[in-house]
Amino acid sequence: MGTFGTIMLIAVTAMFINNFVVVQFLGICPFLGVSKDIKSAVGMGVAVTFVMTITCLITYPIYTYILVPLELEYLEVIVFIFVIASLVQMIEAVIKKFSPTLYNAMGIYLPLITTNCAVLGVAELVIDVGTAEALGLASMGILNSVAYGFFGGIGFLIAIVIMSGLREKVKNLPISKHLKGFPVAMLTATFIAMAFYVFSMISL
Amino acid sequence: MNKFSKIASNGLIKENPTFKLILGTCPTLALTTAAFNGIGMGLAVTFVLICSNVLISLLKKVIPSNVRIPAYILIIATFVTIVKLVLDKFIPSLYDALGVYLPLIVVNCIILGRAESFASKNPVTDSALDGLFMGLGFTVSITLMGAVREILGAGAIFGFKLWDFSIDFFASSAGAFFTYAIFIALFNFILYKIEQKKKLSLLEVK
Amino acid sequence: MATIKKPFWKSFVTSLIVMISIIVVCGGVLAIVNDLCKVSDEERIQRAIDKIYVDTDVSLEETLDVSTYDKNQDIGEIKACYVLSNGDYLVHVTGKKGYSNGSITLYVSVSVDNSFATVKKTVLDNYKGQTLMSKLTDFYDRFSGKTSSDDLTDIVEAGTTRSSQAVQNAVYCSIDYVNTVIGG
Repeated sequence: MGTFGTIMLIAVTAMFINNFVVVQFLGICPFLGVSKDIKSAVGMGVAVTFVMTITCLITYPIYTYILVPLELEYLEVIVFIFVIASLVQMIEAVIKKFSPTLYNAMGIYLPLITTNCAVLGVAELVIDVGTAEALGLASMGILNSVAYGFFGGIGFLIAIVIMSGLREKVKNLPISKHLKGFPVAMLTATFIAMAFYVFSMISL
Repeated sequence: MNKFSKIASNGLIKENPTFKLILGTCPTLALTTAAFNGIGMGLAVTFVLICSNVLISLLKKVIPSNVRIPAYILIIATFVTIVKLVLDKFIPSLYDALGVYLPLIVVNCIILGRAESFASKNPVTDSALDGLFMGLGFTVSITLMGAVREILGAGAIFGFKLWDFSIDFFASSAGAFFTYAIFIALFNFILYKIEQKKKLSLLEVK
Repeated sequence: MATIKKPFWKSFVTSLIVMISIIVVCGGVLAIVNDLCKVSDEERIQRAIDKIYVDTDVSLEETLDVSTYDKNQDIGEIKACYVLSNGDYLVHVTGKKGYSNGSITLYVSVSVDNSFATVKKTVLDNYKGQTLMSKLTDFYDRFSGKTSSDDLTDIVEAGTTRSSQAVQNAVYCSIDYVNTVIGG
């Protein structure tokens, strides 16, 4: 299967079949916390996609070309989280300096992304043999890893935007006060999850 | 109410991380397919929580404020790696069951949250206790959810088959959200009722 | 200017020292724990053996050289083959042409009955516990007792057509390999 084909496959897998939020349960905290209105949902989604893509770009080579040859795999968790935390700091500083408008749109979400399971999660998934095997590869390779990070982020964006759209509608429904807030958000998520479940029936 | 029971009731009920604070949602949804997974993840988190709370409380005067978040994360990551290595060697079945969620304990909001809001401001023993009870609150909550999802979704509990009746919905990802929603609503409802009862009895005494 | 800069430098240096010491101590602790908890390759193979032969004590006797086997390259790859203490062969095999041309790595134990290689049991190699294939224990059991004269193509799990194919290919390669070894 050619490079383009693999990337298309990764796109569909990461965005829909193995959607990071509603199938793999990564990135739930911001999914619930920042989905109250569409504007902040988009901001968070874009920020997460950005961080996920660059994280894969850096963590995959570090793991494959530095940690594994030196037999330091056990340092993986520490190194990854350090990279992510530093990356987020740097991206925030850069955006603040070069594009105040962009910073106003998504900059405030950046510090929260350090603890976003989706970012560390995707870094862990691209170095796992199982992920590569399922796609028909011996190992992911940098290009595919970055693609996985990018499309995983887009999947997150799609999910969080759908969620915010639904929540805006649900906000005004008359429901028992015990269901308001998180319970109804979870119920909304249930429906989104059911919709995405349909995608896992597709065999390419 | 002495300090011990205050911390205990806080972690287990009043500020229950799963059903009240809504923290650590990722493993809650992903690993409640079976009660065994719930206990495994819960105990792993409890261990890391206690260790990191203690260490951070010990070092609270030493770590400068402007690097505290990176420092906390580093300490938490170290303990998570220790758990990962030990489980891989001694309890590989649990290691496989937790999968990618084991390293994700590092970014579990509960641990960083308690480090920031409690351990960095309280003495060591209190922090250790807080870690213990927050962890237990989390463990009991997700084990309970796991048990419900396992019984309804697979007709089994802790791997023992109970009956043939099962509703696949509960084992699916949509079922995870649904079960969580019901638990949160029920939990808050019960707490609300207890508060009401307390208020009523206070009024009666007067 | 000097009075403003001094506190900055002092706090910067303290922060740096604290961070570096934490990193060094953590790294050191992890290196020690890693050494204590090293899982050797033999241990991993033994774990696969224990998964298959649940109640009996079976161990590794011999490791065969699989580099000379090059048949069926398009549908599978024999990674390793071990002879066990009870006479069975344990094949570590990757089957291809699964879900979207994906592959799957398994351990297949093959016993020899009347010079026919027969599958005893199949277990998945390592998995992160999240994939569908890792939860289908009944599916893998359906390969038990199959020989090279059996048709494996109808052992398919609903909803996983292509991945089932990868498993079929893996099992087929294992049987074929063992037949090559014993038959000559």
